[in-house]
Amino acid sequence: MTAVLQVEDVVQEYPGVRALKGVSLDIHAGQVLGLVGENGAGKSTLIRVLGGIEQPVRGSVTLKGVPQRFRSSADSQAAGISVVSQEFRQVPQLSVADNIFLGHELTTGGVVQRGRTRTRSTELLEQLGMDLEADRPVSSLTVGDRQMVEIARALSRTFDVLIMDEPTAALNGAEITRLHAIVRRLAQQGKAIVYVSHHLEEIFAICDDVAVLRDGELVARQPTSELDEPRLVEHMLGRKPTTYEHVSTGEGEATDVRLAVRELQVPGVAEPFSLDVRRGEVLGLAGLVGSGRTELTRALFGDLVGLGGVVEVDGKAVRLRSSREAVRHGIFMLSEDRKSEGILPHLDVTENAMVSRDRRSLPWSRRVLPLRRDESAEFARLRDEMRIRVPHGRQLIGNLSGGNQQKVLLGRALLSGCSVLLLNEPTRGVDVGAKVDIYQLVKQLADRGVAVVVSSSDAPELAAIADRCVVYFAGRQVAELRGRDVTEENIVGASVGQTAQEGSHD
Amino acid sequence: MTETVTTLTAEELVAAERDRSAERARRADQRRRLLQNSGVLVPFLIVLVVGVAVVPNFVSSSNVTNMLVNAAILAIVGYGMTLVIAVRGIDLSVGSAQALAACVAASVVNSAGPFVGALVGILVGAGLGAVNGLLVTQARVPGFIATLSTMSVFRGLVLLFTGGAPIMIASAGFKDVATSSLLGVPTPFVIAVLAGGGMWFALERMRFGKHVVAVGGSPEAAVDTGIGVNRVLLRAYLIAGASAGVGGVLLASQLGVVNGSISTGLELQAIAIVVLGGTSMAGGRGNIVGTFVAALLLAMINSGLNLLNVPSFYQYVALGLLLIFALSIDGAQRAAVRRMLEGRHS
Amino acid sequence: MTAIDTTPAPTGVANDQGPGRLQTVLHFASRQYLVAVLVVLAVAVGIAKPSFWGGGNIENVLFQASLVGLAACGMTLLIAGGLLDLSVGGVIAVSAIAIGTVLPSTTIGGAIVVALAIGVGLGLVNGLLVTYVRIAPFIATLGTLYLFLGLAFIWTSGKVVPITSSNYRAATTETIGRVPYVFLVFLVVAVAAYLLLSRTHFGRTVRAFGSNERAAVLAGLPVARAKVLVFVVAGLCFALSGVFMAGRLSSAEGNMAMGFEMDVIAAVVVGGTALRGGRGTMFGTVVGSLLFAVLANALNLLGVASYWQYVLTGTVLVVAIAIGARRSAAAEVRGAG
Repeated sequence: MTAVLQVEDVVQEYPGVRALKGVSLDIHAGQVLGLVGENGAGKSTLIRVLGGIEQPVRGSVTLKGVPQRFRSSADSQAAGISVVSQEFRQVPQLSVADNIFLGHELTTGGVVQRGRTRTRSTELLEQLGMDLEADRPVSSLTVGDRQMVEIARALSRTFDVLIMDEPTAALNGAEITRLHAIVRRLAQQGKAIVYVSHHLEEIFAICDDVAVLRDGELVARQPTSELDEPRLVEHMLGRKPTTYEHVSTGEGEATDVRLAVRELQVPGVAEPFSLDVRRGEVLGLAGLVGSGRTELTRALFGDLVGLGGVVEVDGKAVRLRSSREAVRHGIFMLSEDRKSEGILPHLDVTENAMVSRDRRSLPWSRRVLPLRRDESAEFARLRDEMRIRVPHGRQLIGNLSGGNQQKVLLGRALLSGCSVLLLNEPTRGVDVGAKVDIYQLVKQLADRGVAVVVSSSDAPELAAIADRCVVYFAGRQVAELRGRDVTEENIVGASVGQTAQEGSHD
Repeated sequence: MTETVTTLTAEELVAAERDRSAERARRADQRRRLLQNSGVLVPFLIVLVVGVAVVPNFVSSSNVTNMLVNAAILAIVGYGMTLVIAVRGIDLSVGSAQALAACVAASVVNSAGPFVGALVGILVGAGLGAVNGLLVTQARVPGFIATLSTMSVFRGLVLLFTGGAPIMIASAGFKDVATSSLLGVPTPFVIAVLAGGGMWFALERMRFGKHVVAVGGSPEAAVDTGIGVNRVLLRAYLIAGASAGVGGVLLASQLGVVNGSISTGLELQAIAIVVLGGTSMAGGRGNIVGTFVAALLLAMINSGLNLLNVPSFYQYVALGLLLIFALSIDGAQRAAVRRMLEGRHS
Repeated sequence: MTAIDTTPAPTGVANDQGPGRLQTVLHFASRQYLVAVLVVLAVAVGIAKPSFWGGGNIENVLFQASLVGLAACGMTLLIAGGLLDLSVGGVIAVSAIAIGTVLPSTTIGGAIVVALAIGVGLGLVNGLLVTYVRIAPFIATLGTLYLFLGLAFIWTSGKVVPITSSNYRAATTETIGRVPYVFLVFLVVAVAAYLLLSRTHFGRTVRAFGSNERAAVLAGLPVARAKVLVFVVAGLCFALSGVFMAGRLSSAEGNMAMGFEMDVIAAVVVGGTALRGGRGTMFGTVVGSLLFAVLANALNLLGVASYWQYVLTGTVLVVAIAIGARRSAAAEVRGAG
């Protein structure tokens, strides 16, 4: 049996980073290949290369025996690769049907066949178990439904290879089951499927083979039946998974509450939020993409203006109408999108770390004007403390790796003197080594008395660092896990809307 | 273990969220329509009523014809601008391009006859549009600065071409185009309606239109779905140039005499009518009908101010204010829609 | 985290705080090919037309460079913040007309203050429109350009306002040796603008939102305030240019600075400030202004039709940006674009 898709020795480099270090992979017709790896292992890069969005520095891609050189996504699609991308690439102004057929419209002489587009879309959506009017604008859909539209779009093309990049990140339990059935059916029809997921039980449920990427290299390729979860994790990490000890803060209720949220009504979210975060506590927020947890952190940072309710920091009620106000009241947030909402690419690392510095505690002489000498000393201290790998303080932040950028941003948060720190996906796009550093830094911050809130879609991450974990589903809090109940299994179960089982610890 | 088990099942929660999401979108859409209409239809009616009631000779047949011809020329240029703005671009060079097209057309009409002249004029416009498009797509210069530069370059070229002297058009046949009428409607107006219909069809019903919306609404999505973004941009600028060329030919026909400094400030009028007509500066869907109505509105305002003998520099101020009004409506509309989609109710 | 101890860094760290000073100087020098272009151009024009160095002409060139350059200083600040102002010509006209109007009844200083105040006011209008009405800067200021021009024409009823005060003319056109007074003012303003942009919290905020506006907002920086303020500062610079232009022309009218925005933007961009924002080079702006003035003067001396100026300015601007875009294409991947 020959492989439908063969990837040979693909190398991809970004300035300062070697994202893929010669990956070779093949996949046969009718096969479901699970592609796993930690954040930053190179999965997304590989998918972008296969999708024609990026051109590799070296290496070849062969499809059905024909060597391919994709110059654009159109080339890749024409060759027979269809991709369900992780970020939704939809045009909000267009209808569901138009979005599904975008780029390969059904036309006669340039005129779109509206009727056929509509019926074909409806059929595709029905296949996915969706009862959705094809004429509705995409902007009116929930995140889960938009994910389904994204899948329908990939299925609408003729393809031999289907690449699904975390297709279940926004899907609930029932939808996931339906999707798995479709994947199996496609495989039976002889399609080759590359399935990327963070949820290992999914990989075991539907994949025939699994390929593990670590640090841009393929470290394992085995039939799923020869693996079990601990061994797969070992491949991903390159070592035995360390069991993180949940050191409970101990003092329990006695410790003071630094952040208190009462009935905060966030625009676009069903139920008002209520939360307490204590001094030194790391609170995890879990839930699918679109479950409302991101909106909550945005509202707490004044980026979305709340519609009612009370937020108290250190016992004082605060008004949060802008991020600036939130920073002044001791709240700081790091966005999940570091590139477009975190770094200031034209500024050097020192300035990037200093922009939010709390000047109220400085002597007058340093308040009015930023002094180079003072700031470089401050940055040098930060660099040693946070183990930021950067040659000098005048380095532009854009040239650093994701992990180092994130450390600089954590330094920014530290210098803002915040008492509440909100982190969204703190290790997205961060390599494995830096990830552990960041977990330690978060712990250190908490130990210094900061109330930390970590919103993440990475359940193992929350299991590793959260003292307590709140799970949201469709805009409602569905579970609160404490202490030893903060496990990956419990978090995932509650996130997808399964009634959480009684936690039994034996 | 602390479990907050809700009374609703997962399916019910999802269904409830779906309904809320649909409701939010419906409200947002309503609000957008309301603001768009109040941006162009309400001013249109007010100006019409005021014009009829207050301005002497406003509804005289010669003035109506004049207004319709002016509106037609403006609308045709506006269509091209609508397309460029829909793909998140801008064309500040339309005035200069129109002047160059008009002057070249005029001189070719004198030497080679009206048909060749008109054709050459339109081709000149399309060529200048292609220059803009290539600067944007190949040289990767941002649209506004590329066309700001070519605004100056084209103006320089037209002044060099004419040497600063006016060009008189000898052909009576050519001059008749603007003054003739079909079934009582001025020919340029008929052309504007037909061109607008064609443009509307291309945007709403054709593949090209879907690609325009994708490129303007979500460029990343356009790239990922394999749309040739550069080709769409190039075509948009080319059509903008060509429509400036058509406008230039009609203008030459209407004026009978052209010089190197005609159509200065046209870009401002064109942008004003496009934005007033409901095409958002944020890109996405172009509103051809809105552009057409707004062109009529601006023609009425200009004509009204002329008939009232308002000095021309007040018209500058009026135009500046109109543009800022249009942009404010656009900004307010976007803010309102965003608020709605976020789920706020006010 | 207010308990951060601020002990100075260990001395061992000091030498890797940044690239060495010599290295910095060399790096800086290696990028100043523009200075070489300027020198070569000046020498070449001098050879072709010896009158270039002749009495009065150099003063002319410096004067012209200063008028563009003063406005370009403000424009550089705006562009570093990812903004733009096309209403330069309008602001200059209104402030110059103000001088012509009030001069008969006030002192020179008083008239200049009035003109600068007008610059501040008009800059404020632009800033508020861009910041709070959320209109894209180039289009908002295109609107206000016509608005200001209209105001200027209405104010003068379309006529020319003569500057009758010979003292004023003398004060603004005076030279020290062969260097016009205005050129010194220009250099002082450029240095001040440089310090403002690179050494103050305000300047850092401007560069921050020019680099990545969302990130700047989420870092808690006073973005809205700084945006309005940078338009105000730019308005001040434009008005200052208007002050000297009025003296130079000894008159003021609505279209005295028509199309001036092109020269100003071109000087900034040719100087090396990228339109994407995030950084600005004042030194480049000074060189760019001189370059343009020499070029315009050369064309004049060589007797080229003035219409060519339009073609040339536009071409130079678009070429400079195209080159910049090509150079930053690689940087973009890195997230620095």
